[in-house]
Amino acid sequence: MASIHTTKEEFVDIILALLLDKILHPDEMINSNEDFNDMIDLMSRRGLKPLLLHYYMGTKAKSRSKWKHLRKNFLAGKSSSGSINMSAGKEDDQDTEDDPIKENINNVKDLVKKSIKSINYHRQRSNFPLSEDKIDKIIDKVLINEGIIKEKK
Amino acid sequence: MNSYYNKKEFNEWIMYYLLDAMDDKGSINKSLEPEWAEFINYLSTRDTASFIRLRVPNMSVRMKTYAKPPIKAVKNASENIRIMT
Repeated sequence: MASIHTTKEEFVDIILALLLDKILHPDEMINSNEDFNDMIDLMSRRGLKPLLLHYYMGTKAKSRSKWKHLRKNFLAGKSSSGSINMSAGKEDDQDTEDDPIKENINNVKDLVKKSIKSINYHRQRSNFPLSEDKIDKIIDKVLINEGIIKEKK
Repeated sequence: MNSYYNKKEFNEWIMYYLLDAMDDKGSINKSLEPEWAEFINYLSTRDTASFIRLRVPNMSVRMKTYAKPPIKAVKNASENIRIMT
């Protein structure tokens, strides 16, 4: 479960990043709410995309990193959950959990754990040692499931 | 305060939040980044508020029974939002 801690300033950055992502990738992001889709369509038609893009480019790298961490929970077809914990603290008062480098390290750790788990699963079900190609494919599958890379067509 | 939403409800929550922010032109927008205030002002001049208001009846009963929770949550910055599948 992706979990992020935000200040209220970062929270609005994340909401706007979500709106921009939905405008840019309408099919990739969750699309189960027709009214929300219509609102995004209206925003797009009313020329909000450049404004949102400008806003997004001006947001702190930390906010963008947090959105990227949470984003996979909003991809269509994903059955994962996430949490946003908002606190009143200013950026400088945040604990080290908000450190984007630490967040990235934690993301990598999660991916490594999931890859090892998946490799073990396949190893237990195979009579032969897994080839390097097979291991690559298993890791690619984990990365695809996590929305890090796209499936090759 | 912990709030749990499924993804559809979280979308509704965002719509509600934008509507709240457009209605509440004074306090909350000014306390945040100027770009956010600019965005909300731009949004309010593009008929988005009336559009969302029209869609409120379609929102889930749970969402409609809240009395403008998003703006308060962000104002107090004390919300734990959990988005579940």
